[in-house]
Amino acid sequence: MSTDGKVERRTLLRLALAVPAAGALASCAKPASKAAPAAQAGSKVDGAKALEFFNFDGGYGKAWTQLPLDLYRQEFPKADVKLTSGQKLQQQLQPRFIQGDPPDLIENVGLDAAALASQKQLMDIGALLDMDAYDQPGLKVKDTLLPGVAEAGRYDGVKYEMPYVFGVAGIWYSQPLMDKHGWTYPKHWDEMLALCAEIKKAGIAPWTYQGKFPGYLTSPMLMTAYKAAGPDLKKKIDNLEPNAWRDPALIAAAEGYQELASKGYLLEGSQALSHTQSQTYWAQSKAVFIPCGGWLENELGAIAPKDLGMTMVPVPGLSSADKAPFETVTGGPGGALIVPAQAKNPQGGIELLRIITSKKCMRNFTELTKSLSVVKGASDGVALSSANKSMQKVIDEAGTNIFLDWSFRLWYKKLLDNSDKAMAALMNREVTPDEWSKRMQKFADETAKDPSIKKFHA
Amino acid sequence: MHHGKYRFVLSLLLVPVGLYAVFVISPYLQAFSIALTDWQGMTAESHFIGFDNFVKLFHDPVFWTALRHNVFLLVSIPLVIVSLSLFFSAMLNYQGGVPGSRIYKVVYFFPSVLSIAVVGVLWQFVFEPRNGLLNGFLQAVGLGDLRQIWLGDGKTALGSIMAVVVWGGVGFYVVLFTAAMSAIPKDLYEAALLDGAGPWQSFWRLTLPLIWGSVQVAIAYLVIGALDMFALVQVLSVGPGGPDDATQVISLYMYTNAFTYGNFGYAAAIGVALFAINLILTLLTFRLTRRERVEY
Repeated sequence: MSTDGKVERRTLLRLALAVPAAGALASCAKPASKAAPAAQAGSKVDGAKALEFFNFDGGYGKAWTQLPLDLYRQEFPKADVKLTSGQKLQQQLQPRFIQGDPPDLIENVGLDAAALASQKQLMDIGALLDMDAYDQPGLKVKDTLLPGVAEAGRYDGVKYEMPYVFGVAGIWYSQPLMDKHGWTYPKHWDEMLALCAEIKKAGIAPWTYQGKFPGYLTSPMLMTAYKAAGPDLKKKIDNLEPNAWRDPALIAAAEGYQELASKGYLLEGSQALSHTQSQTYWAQSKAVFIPCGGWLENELGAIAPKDLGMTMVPVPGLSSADKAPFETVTGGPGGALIVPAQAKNPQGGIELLRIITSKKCMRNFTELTKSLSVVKGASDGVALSSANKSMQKVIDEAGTNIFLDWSFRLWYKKLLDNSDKAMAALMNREVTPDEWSKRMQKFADETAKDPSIKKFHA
Repeated sequence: MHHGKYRFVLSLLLVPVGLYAVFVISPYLQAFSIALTDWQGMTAESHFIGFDNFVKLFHDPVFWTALRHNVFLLVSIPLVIVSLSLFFSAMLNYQGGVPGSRIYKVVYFFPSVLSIAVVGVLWQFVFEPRNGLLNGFLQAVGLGDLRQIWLGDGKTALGSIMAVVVWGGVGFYVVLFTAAMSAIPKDLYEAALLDGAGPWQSFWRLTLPLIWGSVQVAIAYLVIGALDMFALVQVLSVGPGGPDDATQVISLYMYTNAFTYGNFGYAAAIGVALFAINLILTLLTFRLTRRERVEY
């Protein structure tokens, strides 16, 4: 201020005026609580209202959104229909959720749906299932869906997520490569290790995995344990029951998978490879087996040689004493379209959802993304690749032995993250299988005890 | 006219100070109040829970692991970078500068013009375990036995990331120290030479005391930098932060709690703890490195 110690009055006044304005700006980070509007799903769509669809521009891209958005525009010519895209949903959409201005429909990859559901930020979209199917007269939406789709995406029984893809996760290999060496895919882990020894002798690495993201290998390992112990294991794990992770089947599976590392059956350096690096090496036949979901073909794109003959098979069980059949797989409906409870036009969001799940749009989706969808018969007549044919076979053979995923992976983000860390330690041989199971049990107990984490039940 | 001058200066300052207050100071202050809540970050709703987050933090083993890594980095990074830069700049300045010293200076400075994300991505290729530059080089010179999984192995991961920081940091401080050294009058060296001081002695007795101000600033900067490390760990490490927390640092753990676990209250508490540690260490650095100022 001025040298004579006096502050000029006008300056002070201006400052006084500026402070509240700055305060209002600064408080944007965390505004006061606002109640979500109590909109009812299934009520009439206001065709004059704007509509925004937020698309996850990842493995499936955004080309497939064109058709459903055009159909919506045809139905409501006055509506201002907008497509927004991104890959970092948490960072992009979180501020909008806090401000109460989320998009009307979101293709969700990255937002914690369990947290959103528990904080009442999602619309109950159950009514969609009883609405008339968009392009199949006389049928309700639920009648057009594959089994399990209507039940998927529920939290405490309420339908919050609409899946749109139908896929399975398993182990991939190249059929021509297996045929060339006369190898057959084993059904149990001891046979798998025997085959690995043989493959290693032939100068190829038996396995690789997406080491930078160790969760890719946790899935098959848990599946091997599931086959050994039977479905009860999953229930106990998902419900965070005491000592669930101490199950002998889990320890045995951990032992089996650790042997991939200790016996040198992993492609050198796998523990540090990203998903793209490891999958590329696999596509170049540097390794025979890789665990992955149904999106592998689409993700590899042109990297995969045309004659690779990508084939998916279920994860091997543990031994002939297994309690669940070898054909068991995780999968079924996947992906999640959600309508935020605070959306400006939730009715429009649900209507767009009805259009997206039409046979026409889902067929278009399969043609563009080479991925199977949740609608019955939508892929009829679409030429399927070897990868998709093998997945179709896996789905058919699984019959009812198919479950979506371990629910703890969807419900408890921190436990999932900790299971990744423990998996990395296991594959780096920093912990024994028994120590691994103790650690997982400790993490599960911590989750069970933490009052700030909302619990769900299987 | 004093009056007009101060009004002018004030009006110029008002906008930047205002922006700074809104976008820097106010979020800092809000972090303190958010740290006392259970805010999950998806709604505007939150509850005051007192110091629960800090109690939880105190008992959180991952936080202590991260802190240990940060402490290791903040001791080793300044030590390595300052010693290396002093060595290089002393060499460049030796007897009035070695031939080609200007070119070396530019080359050393190269990494400093790259953004940290670019540096991370570049080194991803260097560390790639199969066809990466580093393992490839070891193989080529017949040291194939030394090949490592680098970032995938808990024993080498943190050291590998530290090596990147050193690679990226040395150049800047070489330039800083060379500038400081070239400002030292030549006759001081001549006098030392006449008194029989060798190069080693004239470095310790003459050069280092005279550029101590720059060294002090360098250490303070590097200590603050070592407490961050977020970008490189996020881009380079397995997990990130892994394998199995082997490269976990406080800033990354704060980010994970906020954006992966949706626990903003707890993340803010980590931020507040980091702020306190940062403040203490900066004061400590200046305290410990304080020396008599030498005038020349």
